[in-house]
Amino acid sequence: MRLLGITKTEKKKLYFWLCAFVAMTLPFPKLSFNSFAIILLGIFSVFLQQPFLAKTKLIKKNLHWIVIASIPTLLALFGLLWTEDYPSATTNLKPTFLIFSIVFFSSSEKLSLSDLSKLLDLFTISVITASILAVGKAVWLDVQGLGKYYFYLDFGKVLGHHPTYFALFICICSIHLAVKANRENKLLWLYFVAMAFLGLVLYLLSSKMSIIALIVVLASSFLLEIYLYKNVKTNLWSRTKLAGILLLCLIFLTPNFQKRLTSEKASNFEERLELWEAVFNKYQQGSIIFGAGTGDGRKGLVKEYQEVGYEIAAKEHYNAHNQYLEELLFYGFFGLIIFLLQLIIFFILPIQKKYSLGYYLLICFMLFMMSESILERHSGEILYSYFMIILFSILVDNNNFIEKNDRIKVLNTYVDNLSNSETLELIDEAIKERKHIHHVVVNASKIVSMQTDLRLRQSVNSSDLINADGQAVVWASKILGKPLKERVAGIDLMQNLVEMAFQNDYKIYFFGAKEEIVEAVVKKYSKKYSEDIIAGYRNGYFKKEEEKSIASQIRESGAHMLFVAISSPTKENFLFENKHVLSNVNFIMGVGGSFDVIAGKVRRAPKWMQKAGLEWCYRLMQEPKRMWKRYVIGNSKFILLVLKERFKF
Amino acid sequence: MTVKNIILTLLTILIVSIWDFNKKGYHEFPQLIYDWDQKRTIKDHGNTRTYKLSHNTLGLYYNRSLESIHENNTIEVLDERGRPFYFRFMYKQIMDSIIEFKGGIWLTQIPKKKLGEVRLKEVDIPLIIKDHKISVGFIGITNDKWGGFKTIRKNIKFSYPKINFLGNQKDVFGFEYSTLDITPEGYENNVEVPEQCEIVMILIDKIPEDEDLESIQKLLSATKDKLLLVHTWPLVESMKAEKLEKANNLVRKLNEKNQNIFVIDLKGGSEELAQYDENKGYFLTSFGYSLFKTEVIEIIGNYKD
Repeated sequence: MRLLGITKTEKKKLYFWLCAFVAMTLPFPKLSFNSFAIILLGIFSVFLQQPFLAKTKLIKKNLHWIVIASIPTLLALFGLLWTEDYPSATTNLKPTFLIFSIVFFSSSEKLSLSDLSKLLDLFTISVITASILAVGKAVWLDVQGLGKYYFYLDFGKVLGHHPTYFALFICICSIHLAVKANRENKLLWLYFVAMAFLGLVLYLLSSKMSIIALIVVLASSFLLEIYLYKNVKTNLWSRTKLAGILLLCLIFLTPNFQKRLTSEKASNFEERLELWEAVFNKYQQGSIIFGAGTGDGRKGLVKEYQEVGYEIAAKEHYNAHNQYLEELLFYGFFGLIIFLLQLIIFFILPIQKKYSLGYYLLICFMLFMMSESILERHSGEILYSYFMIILFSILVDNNNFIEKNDRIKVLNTYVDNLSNSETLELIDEAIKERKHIHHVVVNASKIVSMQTDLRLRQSVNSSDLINADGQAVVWASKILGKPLKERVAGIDLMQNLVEMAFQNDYKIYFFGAKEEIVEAVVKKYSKKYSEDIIAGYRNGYFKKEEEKSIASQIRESGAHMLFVAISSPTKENFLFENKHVLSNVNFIMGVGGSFDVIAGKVRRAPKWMQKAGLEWCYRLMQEPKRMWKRYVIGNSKFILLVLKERFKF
Repeated sequence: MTVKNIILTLLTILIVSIWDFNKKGYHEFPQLIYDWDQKRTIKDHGNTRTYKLSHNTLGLYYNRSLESIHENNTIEVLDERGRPFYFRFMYKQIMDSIIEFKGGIWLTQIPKKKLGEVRLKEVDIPLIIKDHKISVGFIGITNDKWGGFKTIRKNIKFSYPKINFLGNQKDVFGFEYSTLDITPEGYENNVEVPEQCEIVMILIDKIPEDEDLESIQKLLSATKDKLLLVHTWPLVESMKAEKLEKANNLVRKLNEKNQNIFVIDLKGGSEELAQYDENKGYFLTSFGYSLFKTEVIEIIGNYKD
């Protein structure tokens, strides 16, 4: 569809470029350029991206998410009700939270985690370029005899940003680079050089909080690994993390940091306590519940600073230097609770989705908010609102993906009510839009296993696309009054997808089965279609500790699709645990014993048996010793469960 | 997004940032308004020792030569390693064996530690003359006021770079202005309107006494070929309010008669724009100066358009 002469593909490219433009302009000194980028993105989103009615529909649909994401703006608008100083209030509305919420939640072109990673890449490149520019300026000024600008506030001047805020930029970039290097395990020298340069800039900035934040993030990555993956390995990365923590602690002994700790009075901890005491005194003088309102939060603060004897704060009209206290001042206890609620939601989502970068970034923001009023300056407000809302919209969108497919609950699992062709269409669309989809099929046996295997249940239900592979599941859906359209057999879907890959130049990685089987599959498809569709292959025999490197290997292969032919629940657990590593692969799917069938080792049931739902019977006859338990006991249990559900006994 | 697009975007941002630094870098680095290549040594005062260093004061052990340093010039302080620091001041004070240059600014950076033995030169560093399109004669009541008066010309210049100030004195930043004494005796001897200027900006940060009104009338009536910008005196709650009212009426009356007079009417809430204190006298507040600056820029902008 064309809107104002722009094709859908062009719009998609323009949208991503505009998003990138916002990220890329932020680290540079001319902030009006960044505001211009935000305005462009807003105009594009409202007027060009899609018809107005479609946009309104999306806003209406995602209204609850938009409300959560734009809490700081909504609080500011709410605070107008009891403020007296309207001119000051207009400068404190934090509109970007609302703008970004509307842009990212009402966009027809959804950003994916891989897009977010690219945006962070571009942001990092810009931070490095802006730092080089600043060093260049400092050297030029020095050579001209116009002063030395290599330390803290002076270096901040050449950067065009407050040093603490630029240090926050660097922390975000460093965390992103570290996580990416850990996942990709390639071009490590490049990551090392980039991080070393950022480290040098951080040294010039000498921001104490940035070092503390990096130490906490590194330490928390250990704890979260224990909690989420339950397997902290003493590999190179773990040792690097430990060395990193030690190195970061030692930075405090370097000359610049020593200078900050000993001679800079204004930002030492005792001074901060004095400042916070004054802020808290001011808060207690007004409404404890609702604060002073959007325009009056800092009214009278100078007097409080004078009373505690903090003259420089009074003279320079310091803000609270703590975002949580800032919320208390402006919107009281009520505002603080609402603000914390947003932070909690932002924090829980990445944990639920096992997206480590998400919670590391948030830990970093939360720590910086303790020593600076991050949202009171353009740089902080944009950085936080932009990246956190993009992340929030992506993580939430995975759920939306489930909802929009008319998802039906069958016993303890969800199944998407899609035909085979609808499923193919959806996958094709997702690959084209560079999304990441975890696909899974369920049959009676798997549903029975999910009754007791909670890990398997979590893995299946958190998948983006679930099809009913077994005819028994389709029958069950009918008995339970929620009929599924048809059975979507995993092997049929896989064959169709291979053909789709050939037609669209997608690449596939085949993983699983014995070496000779997977080789036969690859050979067969290469002959039938083209070698070009093969991104790589590997047998399905590996040790637990090899999982991560296998996942990295698949990721590096450049595959659009991944088929995993390993038995349940190993394949589900592998895909679930390595989902974040495989985020670059657009479509991942477990295909069980399909490779054996394609390689010709196992024969499939005749067509009439497939149609009659008797394929299980054929399999049982082929391998009675191995299959009787699965089909006889499993199917009986399944029937019992369906009846129990149907008649509620 | 292709690599080509990324490079192009980054390059554009980089070029805009460098261009912006080149054009407006003086906002962050005021030393860039000076033409350092044209720096000229007026007198080498030789070696001396520093006694006090602060953001606005340079204290030195007295020697006779230092007394001659003029406030229109800049002091170049060279430390032991020959590293230069530049200081401009508004006035000097001599106490016993100490001479202090006060009310000043460091043009590049303030020395981070006590300098000890230094070499001192009196230098002239002219302002960079480029993009100047409007010559403005700035006539002010006095040159030793603090706060807004000290930075008013700098702020106007930074907000509207096309302005070039003319006068027979230089302020602490090096911008020219002329002093104004509105007492009957002082006026006859001191007031001099620069010939080359198109606009004359008058700032009288003092309550005019009855006998001073004649000087104001003379000043505003004498110059017919230039645009005269004069302000009214914001009212304050004091016994002097009546005098302010009188002076304001005079300015408004002259404005009606003369097309070339433009009145910047400084109106605001009580003590918002100006204050009166028995010791400090009558003075504009920072907000008063800021309002004056905004109005001046707007008028000059409209005048040229």
